Amino acid sequence: MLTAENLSVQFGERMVLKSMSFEVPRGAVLGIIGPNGAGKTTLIRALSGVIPLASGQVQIDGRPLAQLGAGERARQVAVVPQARHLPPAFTGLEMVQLGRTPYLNFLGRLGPLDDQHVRQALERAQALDLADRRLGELSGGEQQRLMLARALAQEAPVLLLDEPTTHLDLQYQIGLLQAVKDLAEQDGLTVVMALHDLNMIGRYAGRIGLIVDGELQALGAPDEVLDPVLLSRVYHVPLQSVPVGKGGRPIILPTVL
Amino acid sequence: MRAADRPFWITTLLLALALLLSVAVGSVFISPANLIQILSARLQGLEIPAALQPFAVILFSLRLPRTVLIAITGAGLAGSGAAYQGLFRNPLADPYLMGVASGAGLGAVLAMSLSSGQNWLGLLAIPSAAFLGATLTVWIVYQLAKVGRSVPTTNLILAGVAVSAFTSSITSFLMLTSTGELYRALAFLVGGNVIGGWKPVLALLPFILPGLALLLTTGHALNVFQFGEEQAQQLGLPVNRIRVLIIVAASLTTAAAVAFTGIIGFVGLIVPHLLRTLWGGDYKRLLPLSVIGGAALLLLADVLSRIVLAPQEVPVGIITALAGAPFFLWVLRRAQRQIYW
Repeated sequence: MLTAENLSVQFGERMVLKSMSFEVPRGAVLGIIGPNGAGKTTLIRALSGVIPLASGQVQIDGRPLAQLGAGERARQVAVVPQARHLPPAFTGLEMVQLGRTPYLNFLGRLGPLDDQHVRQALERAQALDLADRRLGELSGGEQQRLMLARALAQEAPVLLLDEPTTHLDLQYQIGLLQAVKDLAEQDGLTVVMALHDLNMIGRYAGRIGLIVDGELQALGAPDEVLDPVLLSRVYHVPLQSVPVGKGGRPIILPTVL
Repeated sequence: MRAADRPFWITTLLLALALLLSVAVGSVFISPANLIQILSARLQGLEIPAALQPFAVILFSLRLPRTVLIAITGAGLAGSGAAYQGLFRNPLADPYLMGVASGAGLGAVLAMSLSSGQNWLGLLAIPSAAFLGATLTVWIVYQLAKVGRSVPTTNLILAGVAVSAFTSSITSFLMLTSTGELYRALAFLVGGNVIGGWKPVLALLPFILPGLALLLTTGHALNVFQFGEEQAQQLGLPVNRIRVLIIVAASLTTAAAVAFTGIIGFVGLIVPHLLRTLWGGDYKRLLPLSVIGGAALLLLADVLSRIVLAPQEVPVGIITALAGAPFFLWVLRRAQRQIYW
């Protein structure tokens, strides 16, 4: 279980996250939405323990994250950050192998068990075909799949994802989100995922948190949070809920369309 | 031979060739046949034939110590250059960035101006002062670059460049005011301050050996660093501690490299780049390859420095820049793509 307790983050004079509290139980997916600059990425970074908190704390199964050493923290929390500036000379395999770092000694020699985990991670992230390619030759979406594979190789019970579908085409978007959902439901991972796509998140997240100006404005089931009236106000665009056939979840669309 | 081992074979062969040339070539040429005869006689404890005695003296008291000194220097410069490039993820990083080399140079010049001795204490004082100068400079740069609890790389580099300019100017001032030692100081500045004999080599070992040994263990950590400090943290690397470890190891190595040969430019910059372009950016391989390749390249430059204006010697630092820069540019152009970095 992941607990955020009164989480505040301050950059200079500006409060970027304001006293945010929530819990994500084992096996659940919490989706995070919000306009640009609302604090989604900052929240993911704060939950991963890499930025100083102005107040509050993050706990994993009751243990404060700040008290864990670097290695133990990486065995508990794996992150899929937004892919950018990846070193072009590395191969996909070399990159995913680095996910084993928290289990290796300083020299970083991998054992057969590590190789097995790396292979599994590549498979689950649909990235097996990218193992021998150099990162510099890959598209943004292909790099994104490798980022997921690297995080999975960390075998951490908590998985944080920051806009993991940004560069993916529709097929891989659905593939990745379904894989994340399966990881939560079947393997019991605790997942927090920031996503722009309001309709995708409604299908793959059990609960959704809406962040506006660093504050958690709403937190609840997709039906509660994905409310056209609330979202229209937050995104400054008139939105409507459009029903789709056969009892599917209605989709959110701008009324101007 | 496994394909993965090929780079090691190639660089090692090149080093062997460079070592051979370095002991053979100079104002007196020692032919390979003579070389073998002298070495085998020495190894078996036999009397060296009278005709070969002069060669033996040149070999053991001039060529061999110089060869080892130059090899150590090249290895240290290229090894620490690779580590700095990896740590700062900056293709311009080398021992001169962050003021490490200029700090070491200031320390060494201070020690030289205070003691003129060829005795042990005087000799050990030079690398010690160089190491002190290097660490002190790095510490100052580090403190200047610090913002709260983090030390952004850009700040480190900018502070390093500024502090480096500052220390270099003090060094220049010291050189101008030190009357008798001007030639030696100038030679130091252009990397031609090669002191003969075995003593300097032995005085360097306590610095270079732990420095290089530490550096060679950091390949995996540097690989993780390539994804940025935040991702390195998220992958479980104690970033701040490892950064200090790498800086200390690289400073030890740089201090040793600078202490007795002076400021030799370019080796720390081009060797890692060349090797990266040839064989990729995996630091577990790049670090040992840079150490071997740096030794080979500086030895070859030193051989050149002895023959281009023979019987006069050109400072090896001038050769590395004169020959190294165009060679590097040629490789850069030939790669016909953005350099792998």
